Amino acid sequence: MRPGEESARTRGLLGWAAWALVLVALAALGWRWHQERGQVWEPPGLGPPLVLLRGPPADSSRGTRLVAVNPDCRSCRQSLARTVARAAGADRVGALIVDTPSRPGSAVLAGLRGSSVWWDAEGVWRRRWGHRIYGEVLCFDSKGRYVRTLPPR
Amino acid sequence: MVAARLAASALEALTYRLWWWTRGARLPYPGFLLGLVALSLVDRFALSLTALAERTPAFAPWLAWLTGPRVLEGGWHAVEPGLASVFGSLGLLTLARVTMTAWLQATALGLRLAGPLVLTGTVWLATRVALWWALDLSRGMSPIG
Repeated sequence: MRPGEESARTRGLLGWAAWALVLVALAALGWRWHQERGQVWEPPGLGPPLVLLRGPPADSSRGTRLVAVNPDCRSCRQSLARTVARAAGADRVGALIVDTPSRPGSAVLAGLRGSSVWWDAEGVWRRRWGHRIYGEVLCFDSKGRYVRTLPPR
Repeated sequence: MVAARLAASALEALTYRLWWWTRGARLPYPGFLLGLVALSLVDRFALSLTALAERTPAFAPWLAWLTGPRVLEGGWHAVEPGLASVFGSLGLLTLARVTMTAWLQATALGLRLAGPLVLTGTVWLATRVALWWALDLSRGMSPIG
């Protein structure tokens, strides 16, 4: 085999290997996506296993909006502040502290606006409800039943 | 933002260069990259038209042909959010962008347009599908704005 032919053959092999890798990665992503689509998630609920850390548990005259907040995330604290400002008394607005395994301390609670603060102690927001975006707004009616989720404000 | 766009263009140019290298053809990198950076103005223009449609909803049905259905209210938003987000920009401007990218390759390599067009279309489609799946996986049941 001449050097030019060998070089072309090597290039071709490398090319096929690279595209095969891309295809395998795409297939793996597709497989994971397909698995996840088959997953059945629970609808969010207001109450246990969530732990109420501050404020009244419910208000039969108004709905409740909970902003999913990770205390280390500045933008979701800002989302909470904006949601509080926009609600203007229509709904009670509070925080749902997520992805925080240990009980939040008073310093964390002091930094959160809103009338109530719930703590997702068991990680149900991510593991059982299937939610993942900080700052989103979970809406519940006056009886505490889940209505819908709004994207971060 | 500009740096991210430049990096994306550099990566895109490298992908095509590597593809053609494995096929035994040499795509001149700097010239092709420059062409891609110039073509990114088409994306910028599409974004400006999208903003115009948001400010003036009466124009949206007409602009949708150019910018893709993402500017339309109602029906399009009933489509799955990840899918709508990723393919919502598929309009005449995107098709022009894909065709021009293929044309740059065809001209540089002295080829007919068909081959580079199939390659560029396939790369565009594959990256959009990958983005759709990745977006769905990263958001779970959370809505996207």
